[in-house]
Amino acid sequence: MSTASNNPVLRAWNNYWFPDAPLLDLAILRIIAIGTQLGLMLFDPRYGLAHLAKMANVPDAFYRPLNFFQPVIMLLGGHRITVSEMQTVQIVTIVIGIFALIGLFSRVSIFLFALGCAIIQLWILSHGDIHHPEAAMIIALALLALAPSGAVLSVDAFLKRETREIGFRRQLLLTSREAKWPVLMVQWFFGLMYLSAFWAKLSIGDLQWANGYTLQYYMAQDGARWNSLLGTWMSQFHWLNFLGQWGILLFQGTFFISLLLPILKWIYVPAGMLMHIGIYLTLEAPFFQWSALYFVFVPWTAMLILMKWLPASEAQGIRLSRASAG
Amino acid sequence: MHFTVSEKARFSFISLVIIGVLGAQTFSGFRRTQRWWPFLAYPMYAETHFEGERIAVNHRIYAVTPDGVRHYLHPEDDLKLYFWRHEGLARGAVEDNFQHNPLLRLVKDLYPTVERIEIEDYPMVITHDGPAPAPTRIVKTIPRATIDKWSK
Repeated sequence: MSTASNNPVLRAWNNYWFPDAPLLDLAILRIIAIGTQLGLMLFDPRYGLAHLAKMANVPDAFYRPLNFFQPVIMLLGGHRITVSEMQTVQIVTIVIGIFALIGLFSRVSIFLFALGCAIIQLWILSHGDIHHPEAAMIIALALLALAPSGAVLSVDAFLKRETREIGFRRQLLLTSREAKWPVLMVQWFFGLMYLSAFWAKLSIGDLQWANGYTLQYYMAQDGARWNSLLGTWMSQFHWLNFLGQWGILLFQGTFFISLLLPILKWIYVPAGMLMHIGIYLTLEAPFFQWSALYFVFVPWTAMLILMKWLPASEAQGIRLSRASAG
Repeated sequence: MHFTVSEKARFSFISLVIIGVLGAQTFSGFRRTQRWWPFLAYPMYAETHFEGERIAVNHRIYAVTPDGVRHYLHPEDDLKLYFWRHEGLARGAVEDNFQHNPLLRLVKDLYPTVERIEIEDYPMVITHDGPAPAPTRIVKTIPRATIDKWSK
């Protein structure tokens, strides 16, 4: 039995979030997000086992479980998780993450990986400091767990090919109505994070933020603090910083428009990528998760069709490219 | 767009997830609380700064003992605090915020006879042409009585 909505708002909602879209874009998001998170857990000291061990040195006064960590504590009967227990969780999460990355038992492995990462981060952050780069990644992982992220480019897909005799490239052209919404959600999350940053600059900055000196100050501060590559050097140019600040306000305050008018992504996405690279080189703020998730804006399927790498007919190619780039 | 009944239930659930996640981020994004991680506000680099202002690169904390010696306390080696936590506690102490601030107790544990704690800020100011050196200055002196009061 099938039903169609006559409500125009509902129809517009469904058309926006649930169009028939290529599964390939979702699978690439899975590989980038899980690959980045795994890479950080394995190779970045800030996310490794040794960092978890440092939590043992944190005075008890700092430990205040975050709101979303309370249910975990409740389920454990009030038990306070020790460093060695959390290190075990980290090791198990990494193993499951490898399954999620290659797409083996995808639905379960991605869910467990997202859950493990969230618990580890909630535990760390409950010890005092809130960091910003991890939040978007955890949200992205959770969304991937709710979608058919392992339907192509995965071991699960390979096993399906064996039984259904479908070619690798043909399989990459498969579509689903559940393939687009996680991609759009991550894009919207960026839009909302930028709006929050924009609002903070107006409200905390008391409408005087974009005065040139503010960015000079931060460049000099982080240049001296982290010995960043370009921070101290850039802090010498007042008018360049002045223009940069107005550019940041304009970008962060209007980024969400590009999500409603996708053609504007051709301007906003490269500008955003440049901004994040610039932030890293001058302020040494390591938002690697954001940089990785920025690839969510790349219409991979449309690109591969354009390069004639995917064997789509002309009509199919146009339809898939539109769904991929929308 | 046609949905089967089971699809309709699934897409209704996903729609609730979409509304919930975007709603939570919108709500958190315009508030100051960070307790609802991963739904956060993003106020990084949002404070305004002006020409001539001292640049808060970091703080240096000293324990002054009865023999008059100033003992520098290295954030990681001595206090076992990494950068952001050290800075948070130092700033809190400069602003007389000693509640939930274990800094005084940490210093007293290292130097039980400490007479006072002195905190210096970074000797640099911002000018039109970039950073310029400034004289060293003590921005906070915490006497023994205050240390005793807040380190029980």
